[in-house]
Amino acid sequence: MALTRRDFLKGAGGATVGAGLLDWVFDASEVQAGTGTLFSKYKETTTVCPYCAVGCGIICHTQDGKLVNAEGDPAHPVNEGALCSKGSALFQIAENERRLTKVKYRAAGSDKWEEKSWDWALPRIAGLIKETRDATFAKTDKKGNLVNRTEGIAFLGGAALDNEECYLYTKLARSLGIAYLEHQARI
Amino acid sequence: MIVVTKHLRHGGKSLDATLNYLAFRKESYPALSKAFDLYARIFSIQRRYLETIKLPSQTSVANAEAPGPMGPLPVIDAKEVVCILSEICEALGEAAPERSAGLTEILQLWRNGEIGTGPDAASAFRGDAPVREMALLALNPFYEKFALEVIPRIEDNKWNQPSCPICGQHPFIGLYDISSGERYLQCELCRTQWERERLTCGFCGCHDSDMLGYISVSSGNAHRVETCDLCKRYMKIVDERSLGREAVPHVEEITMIDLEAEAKSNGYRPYCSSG
Repeated sequence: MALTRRDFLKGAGGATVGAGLLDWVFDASEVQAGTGTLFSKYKETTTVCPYCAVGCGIICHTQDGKLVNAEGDPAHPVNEGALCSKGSALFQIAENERRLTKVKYRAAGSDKWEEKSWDWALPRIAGLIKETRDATFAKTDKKGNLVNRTEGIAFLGGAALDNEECYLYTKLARSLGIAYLEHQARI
Repeated sequence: MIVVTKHLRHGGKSLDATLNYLAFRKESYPALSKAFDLYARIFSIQRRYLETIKLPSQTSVANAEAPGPMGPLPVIDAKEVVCILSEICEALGEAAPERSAGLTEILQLWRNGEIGTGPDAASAFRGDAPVREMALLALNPFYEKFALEVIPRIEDNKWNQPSCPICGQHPFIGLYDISSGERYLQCELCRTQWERERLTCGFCGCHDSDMLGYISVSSGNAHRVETCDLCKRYMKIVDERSLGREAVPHVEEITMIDLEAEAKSNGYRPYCSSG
């Protein structure tokens, strides 16, 4: 959109020093907005790195809702703008053509991946957990103590889980009778 | 550049550094070479006055223990302002001879005492002529000298406000520091730089990410204008990390006229705009 010089200077103190002075001195009749240049609008939002428990601050830049850039947040008290190698590569978590978008299944003994639907995968996962639990469930230990546990499943939590998720997963694991319950932060 | 504290510093550079920087930018913006040549002359004039003028001694005992705006501001001799303004008008007249008559009229405003020497001199002037902009250029050496004397006396105290802590004027451009990425705003009059937290409107303090944004060629570009939909202000920003070197903001400002026009066409106005 073309602006006339009058439009450009409109309003009290309507231009910063360089723009206001140069336009008057060189008597430009028009100041073209975006002459030969396409400008876009962007937004910045803060977030926290999902990896380890340090919780570094990150600024995400988006254009029309799509992530276009990510950088450390200089104002965050934890990292003051710095990021480790994993945090620096965070952009690829959201935008990477190599991200999997479908369920991939490799059958036991197979040498290839098959594409499956979520409707197939989720019931199968639930079924295998139930089968394993039932097959390995021990009501008592060798001394006859009541234990009600499954000895065939281990559950490992990660830093990407928040406290509330960890709480719910712990409840789920204990209700299944899982005793091998661990978290990446302890290892 | 004087760096006193993490939060407060001065953006002035030596004349050699400024002229080198102008030459550096001229390579990337050949269409602006006339403007760069003009500004090389204006900066040289300002630097000469900065090195030779003396502020009255009572200015130096301004209350420097609490950051600004400072109590007493520099006492400036209007005749000295007319001297520097005459030289600036001469430089402008040689760059654009057809403007000579207009420049003479502007100079007369000061000779008649119609415009003073305070930080906001000429802000009330209405008309097409860039009287306010010329007042800022002519008064800069005096207020920059004042800032250079006062800043070293200030203890580390974060001044997170929209106006300059030294002279109370508006910032006209900001930068993201080359090593930390922190945002500093630079005063349009005395070139003091103060840290102003990012993802917050530098003018009204809004930190709602839905109201804030920026306009640029691309996300990683060295130039952008930050915008706020609450107060409808914009701020030009140069990202030193993308630029690859420390910037001279008062030179960078010249290269961002297109961006400024884009911001205005989207309904935003600069910090110095009233209302």
